[in-house]
Amino acid sequence: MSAVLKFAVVGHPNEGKSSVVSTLAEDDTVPVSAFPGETVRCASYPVKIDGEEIIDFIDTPGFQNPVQMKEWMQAHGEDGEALMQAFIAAHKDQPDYHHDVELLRPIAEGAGIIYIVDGSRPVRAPDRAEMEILRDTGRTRMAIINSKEADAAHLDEWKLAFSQHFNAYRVFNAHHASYRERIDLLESLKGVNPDWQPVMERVIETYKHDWQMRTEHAADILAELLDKNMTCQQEKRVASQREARELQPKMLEAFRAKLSKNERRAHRRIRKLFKHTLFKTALDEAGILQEDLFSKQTWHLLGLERNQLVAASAIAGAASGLGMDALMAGSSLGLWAAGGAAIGAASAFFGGERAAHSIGKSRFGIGRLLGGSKVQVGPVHNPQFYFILLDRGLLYVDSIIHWAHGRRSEGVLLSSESGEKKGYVSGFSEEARRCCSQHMKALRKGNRQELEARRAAVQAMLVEVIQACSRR
Amino acid sequence: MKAPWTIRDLVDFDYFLYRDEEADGEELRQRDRAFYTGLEDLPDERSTLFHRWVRFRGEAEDATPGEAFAECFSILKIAFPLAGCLSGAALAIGLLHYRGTVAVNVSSYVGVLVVLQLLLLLALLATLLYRRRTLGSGIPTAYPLLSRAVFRGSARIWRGSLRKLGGSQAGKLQSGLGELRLKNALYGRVIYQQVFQLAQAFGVLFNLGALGMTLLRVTTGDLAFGWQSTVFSPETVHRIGRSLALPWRWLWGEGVGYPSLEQVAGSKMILKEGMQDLATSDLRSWLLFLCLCLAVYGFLPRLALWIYAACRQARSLRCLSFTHAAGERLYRRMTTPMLESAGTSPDGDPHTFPLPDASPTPHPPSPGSPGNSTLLLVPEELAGELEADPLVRMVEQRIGRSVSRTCWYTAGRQGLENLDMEPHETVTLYQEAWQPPIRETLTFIKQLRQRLAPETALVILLNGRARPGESFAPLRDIDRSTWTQVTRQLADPYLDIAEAVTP
Ligand SMILES: Nc1nc2c(ncn2[C@@H]2O[C@H](COP(=O)(O)OP(=O)(O)O)[C@@H](O)[C@H]2O)c(=O)[nH]1
Ligand SMILES: [Mg+2]
Repeated sequence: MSAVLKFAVVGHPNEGKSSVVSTLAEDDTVPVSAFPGETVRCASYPVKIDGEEIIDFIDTPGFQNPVQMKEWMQAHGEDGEALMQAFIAAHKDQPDYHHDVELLRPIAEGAGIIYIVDGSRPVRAPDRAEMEILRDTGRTRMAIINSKEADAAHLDEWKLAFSQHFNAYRVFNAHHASYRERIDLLESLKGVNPDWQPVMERVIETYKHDWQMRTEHAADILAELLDKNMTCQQEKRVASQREARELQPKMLEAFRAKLSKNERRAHRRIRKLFKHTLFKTALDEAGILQEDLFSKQTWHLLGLERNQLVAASAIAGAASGLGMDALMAGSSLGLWAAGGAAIGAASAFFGGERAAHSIGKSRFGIGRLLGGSKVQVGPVHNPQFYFILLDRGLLYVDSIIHWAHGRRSEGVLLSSESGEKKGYVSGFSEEARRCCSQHMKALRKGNRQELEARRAAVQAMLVEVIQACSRR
Repeated sequence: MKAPWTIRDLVDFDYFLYRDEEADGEELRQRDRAFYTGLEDLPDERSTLFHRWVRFRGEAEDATPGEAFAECFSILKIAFPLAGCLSGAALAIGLLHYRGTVAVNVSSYVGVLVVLQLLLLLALLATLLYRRRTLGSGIPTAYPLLSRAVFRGSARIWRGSLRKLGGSQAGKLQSGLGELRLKNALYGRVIYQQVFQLAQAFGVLFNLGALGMTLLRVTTGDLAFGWQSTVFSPETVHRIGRSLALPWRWLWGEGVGYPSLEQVAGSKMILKEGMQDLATSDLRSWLLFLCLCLAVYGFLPRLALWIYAACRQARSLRCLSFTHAAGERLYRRMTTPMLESAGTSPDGDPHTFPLPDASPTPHPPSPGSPGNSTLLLVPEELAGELEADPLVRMVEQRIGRSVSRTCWYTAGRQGLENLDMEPHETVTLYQEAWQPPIRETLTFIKQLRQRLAPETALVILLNGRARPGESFAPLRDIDRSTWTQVTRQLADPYLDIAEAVTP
């Protein structure tokens, strides 16, 4: 089928037309505003498969004169396309009717109708007029109830009205619709008009496929981040022990920055994968993800519980000889503050063990080499770090896929008074946790083949987690 | 007796009202109510009441924009006539330049001082008529540049006095300046009239200056008038002179009030022949004619316009009704008794709310306002949801007027046509604030306004989305700002919005 299937998304001003288009088309550049009358022209948001435009959602301005429009149309006494053309011809030069003419245009040109209403408010005369106008266009039309508020008192009123004027209706929330609900909406569109069926089927198939691909890709990005950050290390040659000691705080700082940067880069890739461009700024306003990777809050809320961590460490064979408190607290010991005690803690955190192997008793990670010394930071051997990275990654994916493109406000907030963990990993099954620990162990050992296998296992496990998350 | 409003009072009045928009509602009510109840003799004119209020508010201020305007005008009132007089005289000197060899050219004198002035006058009248036709009740502005200069000058003086005050107060007051805009219908009209009057004063003195200088040159020196033309014959020139002398021909006839044919012919200059052959009496015969031309075509019309402007301004100042939205609000604040009831609300907060009709008030109802009742318009579709009694009670409480009738109207074309309204009765339009103000609704409001007399108050009473079982609710901020912004665009000073529930 070559003709592009067009849907005009119409309705009263400020009901969320642009938001629905934004969410459906996964495009957060659609202008949305709390002030009515933001959209003044029709704008088209096509869905393409392999570069070929298949369907097209058209965002339209809202009805400005529904009652007068209806009166005019009823007095005119024509029907369908002729009626619309007559209305457009008669009003196209009247500034007051600019929006009404604009929104009618795509319908007159054959687009199907998606009518948006806010189901949390009562039905009023202008709404009835709009529904009658749309009915008189004779086009296939479906209504979407986009309830801005929880109030369900008026839903029956709306449903009754829709059953009189529309081929179908469904509930769809522009701010909270998940991938699932998007698919469901497309499924209903498929059912409304038999002509649309083949195209819609193709679109839905492609959507599902694409989603699976994105899920796998996201899991891959996360696993790669774990690989990178758990093996990351930095070293520098120095002439003397004194110089080494002076250099150490700086190197710790640089190392920390490097780990954070890797994480940020991975998150950015995930964001792009799910086609969000504005999301980051919104996310940055609030929420645990806005916290630094090494902040006290992060280590407090994310990662494994104490007993889980003990088990994980045992499997990973990591951090033997380090106190559990040091592992759990992470930066709360003042990891990044300058000063002797902090440096001591830091060296325990960042590969103190290996440093201890190579340079005997030194806890500073400074090794003697021929012709000088070297300062070495990393790799991190604290298993909690692995889980915190993973937790943050999953939280990020979670908020990204549940962040409808039509929604334009603040991000996820987590808080914990009781000291309980709030992230994903503390809720993992034992098997999943074991899978992670073995990955960690392979990372430490550096056996390539084993590492590949462990990583694949973790990635498969993550795909499942993300799939479950997007079904929610 | 009506209060003697001046431009200064008016500008200050508007300025104070503007500043009150920013202030806390409760405080304002207390202040204005205290002012009102503290008055010893209650004026029965709203304008007198407000005039006292302006004075009362002015006492608390060190500098006001009204003073700046007054100062600006007091300078202009001297500068304009002076400049007019000087430029008239200077022009006359230029035109009467006479060295004894070539006579003063009558046609350039008449051309510049009479024909040009007449053209300017006609242009002025044409713009006035045109503006009045197109703007309807709006303010005709004949001198937009001059008006803008006056506003700018006043603003500069105002800023200067702010700087003298210095510090925090200046910052606070400065914000008031932006609102002193030309569009303001309340004082704008009076200021335009004042500017118009200034321009006329310039014109009057310009003509007096020119006339005076002409007479001075004639009495203190020897002048000869003549004319030149290759096209016109003396007969034509004579006919033109005769027509121009129409207003005074009956008094000073041919040969006196205007030159006779022989005198015209005798004063024709042909350059190569020089002046020797011309008779001196013929050369002088033009003098009285020229002076009369200037007086009748220059001086008198300007004088008439000046008097007209003065009268118009006095009338505008006398006939201020102060029924515009901000005035209504002020009036409501003054006349509504404060009722404090502590501990009656469920959450235990002491609440203060106005109950205009519940407590007997010793004050006469609404002095000077056109009736104290309102027509309430409610969409018919809400008839099932709103009970009439609580609705009327709420409206009366919130608007401070009694509801004379409630009309349930239907949207659409006949809706408005079927309404039966008195043009002078205040109208309250009930509107659900969560409905966005679409074009249709605004058109309806505009049409409603057209059915009403221009200075009748029209109140849009906004209600929020009520919970089940309740009828009225406070507005969401976004709805409030949306409606405020949209109604402001209608630029109707007598249109106000009110809220069903105190925010
Ligand atoms: N709470 C909530 N607000 C919504 C929803 N959909 C839209 N909005 C808000 O409604 C306002 C108008 O949305 P917009 O899409 O621009 O409406 P349009 O005029 O119909 O295009 C914006 O402030 C949106 O954030 C929703 O599902 N829930
Ligand atoms: Mg829009």
